[in-house]
Amino acid sequence: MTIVLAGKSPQKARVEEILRSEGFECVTAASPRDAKELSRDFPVILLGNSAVDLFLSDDVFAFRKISGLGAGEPAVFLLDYGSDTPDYVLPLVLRRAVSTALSKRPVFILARSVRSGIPGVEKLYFDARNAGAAIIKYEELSIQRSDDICEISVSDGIYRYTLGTPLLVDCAIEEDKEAIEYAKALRIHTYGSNRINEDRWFLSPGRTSRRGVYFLDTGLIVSDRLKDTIFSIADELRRSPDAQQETRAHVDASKCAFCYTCFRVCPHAALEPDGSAAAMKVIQPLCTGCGICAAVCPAKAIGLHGIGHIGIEPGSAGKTLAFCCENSAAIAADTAFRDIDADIVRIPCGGSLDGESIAAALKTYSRVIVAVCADEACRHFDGSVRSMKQVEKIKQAVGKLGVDPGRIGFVRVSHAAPAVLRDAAGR
Amino acid sequence: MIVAELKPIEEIISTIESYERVLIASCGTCVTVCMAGGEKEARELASLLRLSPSMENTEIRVVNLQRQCDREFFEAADEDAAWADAVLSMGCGAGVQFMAERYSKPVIPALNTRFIGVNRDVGYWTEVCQGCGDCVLEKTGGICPVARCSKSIFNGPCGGSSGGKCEINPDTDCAWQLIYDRLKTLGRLDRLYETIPPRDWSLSRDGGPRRIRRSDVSTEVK
Repeated sequence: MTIVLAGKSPQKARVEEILRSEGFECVTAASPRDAKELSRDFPVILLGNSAVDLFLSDDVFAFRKISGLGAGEPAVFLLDYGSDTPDYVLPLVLRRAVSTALSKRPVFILARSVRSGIPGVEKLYFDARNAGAAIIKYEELSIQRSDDICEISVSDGIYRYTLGTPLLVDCAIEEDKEAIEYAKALRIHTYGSNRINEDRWFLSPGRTSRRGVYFLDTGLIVSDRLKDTIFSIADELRRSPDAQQETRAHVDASKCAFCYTCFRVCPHAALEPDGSAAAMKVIQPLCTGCGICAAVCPAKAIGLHGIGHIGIEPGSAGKTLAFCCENSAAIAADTAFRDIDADIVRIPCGGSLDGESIAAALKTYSRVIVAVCADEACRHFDGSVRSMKQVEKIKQAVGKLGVDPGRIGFVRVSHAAPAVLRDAAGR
Repeated sequence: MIVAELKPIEEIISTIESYERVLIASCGTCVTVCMAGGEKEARELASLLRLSPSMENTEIRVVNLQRQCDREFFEAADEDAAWADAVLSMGCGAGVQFMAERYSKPVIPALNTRFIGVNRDVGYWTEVCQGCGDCVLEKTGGICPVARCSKSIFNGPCGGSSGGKCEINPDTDCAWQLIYDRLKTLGRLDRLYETIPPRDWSLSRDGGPRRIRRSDVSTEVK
């Protein structure tokens, strides 16, 4: 089996050696364009070499460090990543936090997302808490700097916490710019300042948003895990891609307006222009059937095999309809709706829901609930955010019609937390 | 393409609520691509209108037309249009008027037609052309002073250009700054020494409604 290596890394020779020992033949892509062409026929491993550093965020604070900090002044470690904290950074920060806390200094760890599942990290969390470090997960962050103090304010949307520190430790990553050029050519999902989305918890190690394209950032991956990650990729590639029967999208070329909307929004790079038909077409092996393309298509030219138009049975007054993402809410729904009179429509992703379906459901049901995954857990990246925007749009429109927008509920749930869904339904 | 957007829903309702049978007609070209009047938008609008208490006695149908600016496509709507008391066109202003010529019943616009523009990102369009009838883009580095300068001046910038932005709105780029930057990139700043003379605005809207007749493609042109 042939595998394409793209991008640069000092570990490239080692990666090649491991792949060869696993029976793969390695080909090197000469340029992003070359990688794009080769990716049509072969799996690709994109190598990156980002640098990671814990540094004091400002010279002032460095000066204060030298001139001596007050004994009670806290140290704040900031993990402000758009997506998950990279698995290399977290143990590094937790270890540093433990040693700082043990030197009798108050320690705060502020994180946009708290992650687990990294070998050994649970123990480090435990050690950090035992040493007295406070770990705060936030959604909003603001930092005000003055000469000798940094006012940090964080909020989870409900509570706000403010603290002052002369010692803010930013855990910054310097991106591998070349890897990002490759990522763009390969059309894999990036976020924030073009960070490559390589490590959401539900993705196997190295997986990206696009099937058959893997990302190994040798600057961020702990060296002894490199081999395991490559083994895991090799295992996945050896498995038959069609082992799983999945719902997939298809384009009706006669209706397609060739507007490129689906091409731009597909998180999995599964659409490409078919010049001879003057229409888009779905690259079937890449499609995951999330239905985001079908929901955004302005010409209604995209359907999902296995799922027709989201079917809504004529309901009755007093009844609830719940659109449930099959990755979370649909699993929780069995328990959540045990004794609530509700109809459930399984949707492949929050992003597959369009405004029409919500409005149509309101015609016959007294209450409509849209229940999707947490934003950062959406395996189609922005599906949950898309569904929230559809809900907001329809709420605003029905409000103008004199219909109570409170009849539409929106909730982010975990498959393991049916009570959240139940509360939303009972409201 | 022509870029349009949906009118406020309460305005749409005020124009159609007195009718018992309303046909919504989508258009499959520009307004589909700019996500204002395609099949998806038409179906969503229909679903919303059906929820309106003031539309309780109104029946709504949807027909999807490939184009509203060529009359052959209307045939697909003839039957439903005969049924309807009024037609709500989701075409641009041209589509609405062409439909109104065909059917002897009210044809009502659902969209506000905004401009000729380009799609810069998903859900983001900007105006780049005004159809002025005498293109000067060759002289201005491919950036239109008519459409993109707030004053449509031909020998700019004016005194309201500051920091590359236009005085009417800090979010609006000064077209003449863009022209300067572009000509500089092309190594053709010398073009700025040429004064563009006053033009013949009768080729634009000032000459009244415009028409084009091509004798080479028609045997019936007088």
